[in-house]
Amino acid sequence: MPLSSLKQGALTDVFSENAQLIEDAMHIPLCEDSVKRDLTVAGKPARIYFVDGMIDNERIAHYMLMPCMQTPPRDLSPEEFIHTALPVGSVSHTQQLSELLLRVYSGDAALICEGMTGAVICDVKGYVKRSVSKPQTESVVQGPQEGFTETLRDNIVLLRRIMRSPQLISHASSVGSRIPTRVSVLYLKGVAEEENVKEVLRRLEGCNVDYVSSIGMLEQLLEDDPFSLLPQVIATERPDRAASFLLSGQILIALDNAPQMLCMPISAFHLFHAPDDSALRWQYGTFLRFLRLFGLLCALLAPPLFVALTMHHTEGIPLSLFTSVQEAQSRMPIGIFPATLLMLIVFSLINEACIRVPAVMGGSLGVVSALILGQAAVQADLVNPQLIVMVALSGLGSFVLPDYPTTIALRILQLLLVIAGGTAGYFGVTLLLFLMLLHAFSRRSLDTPLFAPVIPQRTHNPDLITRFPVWRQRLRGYLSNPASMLRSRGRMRGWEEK
Amino acid sequence: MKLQTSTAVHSPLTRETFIKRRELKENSLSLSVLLYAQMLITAALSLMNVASTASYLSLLFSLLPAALVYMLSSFAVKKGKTLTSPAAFLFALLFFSDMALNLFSLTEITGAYVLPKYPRMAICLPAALLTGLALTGKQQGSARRTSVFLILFFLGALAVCLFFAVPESDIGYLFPLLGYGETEILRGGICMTGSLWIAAALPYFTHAPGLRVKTALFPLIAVFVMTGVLLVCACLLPAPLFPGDWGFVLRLQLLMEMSPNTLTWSLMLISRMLLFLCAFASAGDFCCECLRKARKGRKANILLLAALSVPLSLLPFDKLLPFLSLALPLRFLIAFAGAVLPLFKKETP
Repeated sequence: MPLSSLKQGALTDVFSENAQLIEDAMHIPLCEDSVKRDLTVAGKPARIYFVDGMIDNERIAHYMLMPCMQTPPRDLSPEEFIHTALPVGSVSHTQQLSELLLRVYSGDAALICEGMTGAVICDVKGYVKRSVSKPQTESVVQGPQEGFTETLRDNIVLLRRIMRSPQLISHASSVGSRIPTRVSVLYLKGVAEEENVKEVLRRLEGCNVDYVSSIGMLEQLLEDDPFSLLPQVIATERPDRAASFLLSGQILIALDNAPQMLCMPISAFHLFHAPDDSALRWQYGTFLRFLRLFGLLCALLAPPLFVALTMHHTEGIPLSLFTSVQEAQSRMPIGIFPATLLMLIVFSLINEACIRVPAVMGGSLGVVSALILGQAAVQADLVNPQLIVMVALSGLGSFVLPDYPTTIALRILQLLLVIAGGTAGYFGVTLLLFLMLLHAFSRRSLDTPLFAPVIPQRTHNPDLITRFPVWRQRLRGYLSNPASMLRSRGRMRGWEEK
Repeated sequence: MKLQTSTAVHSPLTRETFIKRRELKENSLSLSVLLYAQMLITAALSLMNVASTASYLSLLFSLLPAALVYMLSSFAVKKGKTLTSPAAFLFALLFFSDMALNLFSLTEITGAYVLPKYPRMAICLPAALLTGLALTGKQQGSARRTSVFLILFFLGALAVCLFFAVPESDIGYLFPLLGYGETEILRGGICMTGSLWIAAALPYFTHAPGLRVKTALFPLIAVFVMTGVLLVCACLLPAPLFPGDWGFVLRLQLLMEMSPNTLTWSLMLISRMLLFLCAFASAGDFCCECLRKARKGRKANILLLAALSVPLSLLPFDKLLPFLSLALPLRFLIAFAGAVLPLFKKETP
C-alpha cells in the first residue's frame, strides 16, 4: 500500500483501534522484522513499534522502555508524557499514520498508550551505516579528505561542521509516493536567491514518482532540460565543495541513501573547476584550469579534425606528416574514419570496464588494453599508429575534466563530431560545433543561463576560467542574492594598509 | 557570526537597466560580426577583381555614406524615436538578404575547399535547415549570444593569420595609389557601401534613451579589422591588375590572407565557415525581431526564413556581377529609407 494512500489514516485515543491500524499497515505478524513490544505505562496498556535492526537496542531499553515502565500510574497527555517520562533528545507526537510509518521505517520507535491521542515517536536509530571516508570520485592533493556518506543526517552534520552558522537552513522534505525518501534542501539564508529556493521546493513537490533510488534519478526529475546532453546540475561528494557552493548562493539538495549532494543552479564553468582549485595558490589554480581547457579541446576536436584532415583536406597537413599517415594507412585493412570510430568505442569500452572490474583484476585489464589492443593492433597493421596517438590524446583530455557526467557527454559529442568530420570534413565539424554552441548557450540551470556570467554577461566573481587571487575575489557571484553580492568590505589583505 | 557582510548593490531598477544594457551590448557585438561578414563577402564579390590597393581605397571611400546614415539614425534615437513598422519591415528585408548572402558564401567556400564533389544544394540546405531548427523555439537573441562568444575566435584566428602573413607583405605594392583606375575604386566603393547598410540599423538596436552604453566601439572595431585585412591583402597581392574573371572562390582565397602555412589555412577556413554560419543565424535572429516589430508583436518563424533563403543563396552571384553592382548599393538606399522613416513618425500624446 503506498504511503500516500494512508494520508487520511488518523490515530485516535482508542488504544485497540490505533494498534489495529498500525499493525495492519506494518503487516504484523506477516512481516518478521516489524516488531511490537507490549508494556505498561503509568498503569495503562501500551505498545511500542519499531523495525528490528533499524534501532539501537540499548537506547530503546535505557531511554524508552525503562522510563516508561517506571512511570507511576496517572493520567498523561502526550505533551506531559514527552516532557516528564522520556529522556530522549528527539521526540515528537503525531496523529498521522503516514508520518508514524515514515518515522518507524526510518529507524525511530512509536509508542501508543491507552487514553493517549495519537502516538509518541522517539529517535532511537541504530542501523548499520558506512563511516566517513575519502571521496571516491573527487580526490584532491591539497584540502580536506572526507566525503559524504549514505546517511542524510551525517551528511548535513558534515556540512554544518564547516558552516557553523544559523543562516544555514536545512529544509526537510520527501520524494516518492510508495516509498518516500527523505530529502533536504540546504541553502544559506540571505545569500541564496529566495526565488531559487522557492523554485527548487516547487520542483521537489512536483516530483510524482513512487520511489527515488539515487541522486542521479532525482537530478533527472529536477533539471531544466532532460533532453540536453549537457549536465545542468552538479553532484558533489565533498562537504568542503558543497560549502563553497552554498557561499556562492547556490542551493544543495541532499537525498537519503546518496553519498552526493546536488547543486543548483550552476554555471557551465563549474564543470571545469576541481575541488582543490581554491586550495592552491592562484597561479597554480589558473595554470591547471588552462590545462583542463586544453584537455577539453583535445578531447573534443583531436579525433574529428584528424579524420577530416586525412580524409578531406590533405592539403591542410604538413607534407611529412601526410606522407607518414598515408604510408601507414596503405597497410591498413580499414579506412581512417571507421578505424577512428572503432578506436573511440574501444577506448570507451576500456574505460567502462576499468570502472566495473574488481580492483584486484585492474592490473590484468591494464595489460590487456595497453598491450593487446594498442601495441598488438599496430604491429598487426590493424590500426594507424598516428590514430592511436590521437585517440590517446583525446582520452587523456577527457580524463582531466573533474566532472564525470561531463566526460560522458564529451565522449558522445566526440563520436558525433567524428561522424560529421568523416562525412563532411571541416564543414561537418564546423556546422556541428556551431549547432552545439547554439544549443549550449540557450540552456538554463534553474532558469539561470548555463553559460552565464560570460554569455550572457553578468556580474561575477573573477573565478571562471582563470582564477584570480583569493583577495581579489570580492564578489560572491551572480547566482547569489544581489543584496549580498559583496563578500567583504574593504581590502581582504587589510593588514597591508598598516 | 554574520555572513552577510555586504550592502545591497542592485536594486530591481538597476537590475533591469543592467539587463537592457547587456542586450544592447550583445546586439552591438552581433551586428559587428554581421558587418564584418558582409564586408568580406562584398569585397570578395565585387572588389577582388581589381584587388590590391583599390579594395582598400574603396573601403575608405564607402565609410562616408555609412557615417551619414549612422548619424541620421542616432539623431532619430536621441529624439526618442523607435523603429516604425515600415522601417522595421525594410530592415527585415535587408537582414533577410544578409542571410542569403551569408549562406551563399558558406556554400561557395565549402564547395570550393571542403566538399568539391557535392552539389551546392547538398551543402546549403542542411546548413540552413539545421541552423533554423536549432534556433526554433529558442529564446530570441540566442544566435546573437553565440556570435558574441565566437567573435573572440574570429579575431584570434585573424590575429594568427596576420602574424604569419605580415612578414610576407610588401608595402611597395601599395604604390601608385590610384594606379588601378579611379572608376574601379569608385565602383568598388559604391558596392561596398551596400555592405555598410548596417550602420543605419545600428543605433536602433544598440542605443536606448536614457541609457549610456559604450557600444559604438565594437562596430568600429569591425570596420578597422576589415580595413586591416584589406590593407594586408593589398600588401600581399602583386601590384598589377589580375587579369580575367577570377571567380568568387579564388577571391575569397585571397582574402584568407594567402595563408602561408597549413595551420593558418585550416584556421582561416574553419573561422570563415563559422563566421558565415554565425552571421547567417544572427541575421535570421535580427530579421525575426524586425518582422515582429513590423507585424506589431506577431512572431516570425526562423526556420521558414532559413528555408526561404536557400533558393536565393543558390543564385549564381558570381556570374551576376554587373547586376550586383546595382543591387548591392540599392541595399544602402533601402537602409537610408529605414533610417529616415522613424523621423517622420508623429508623436503620440
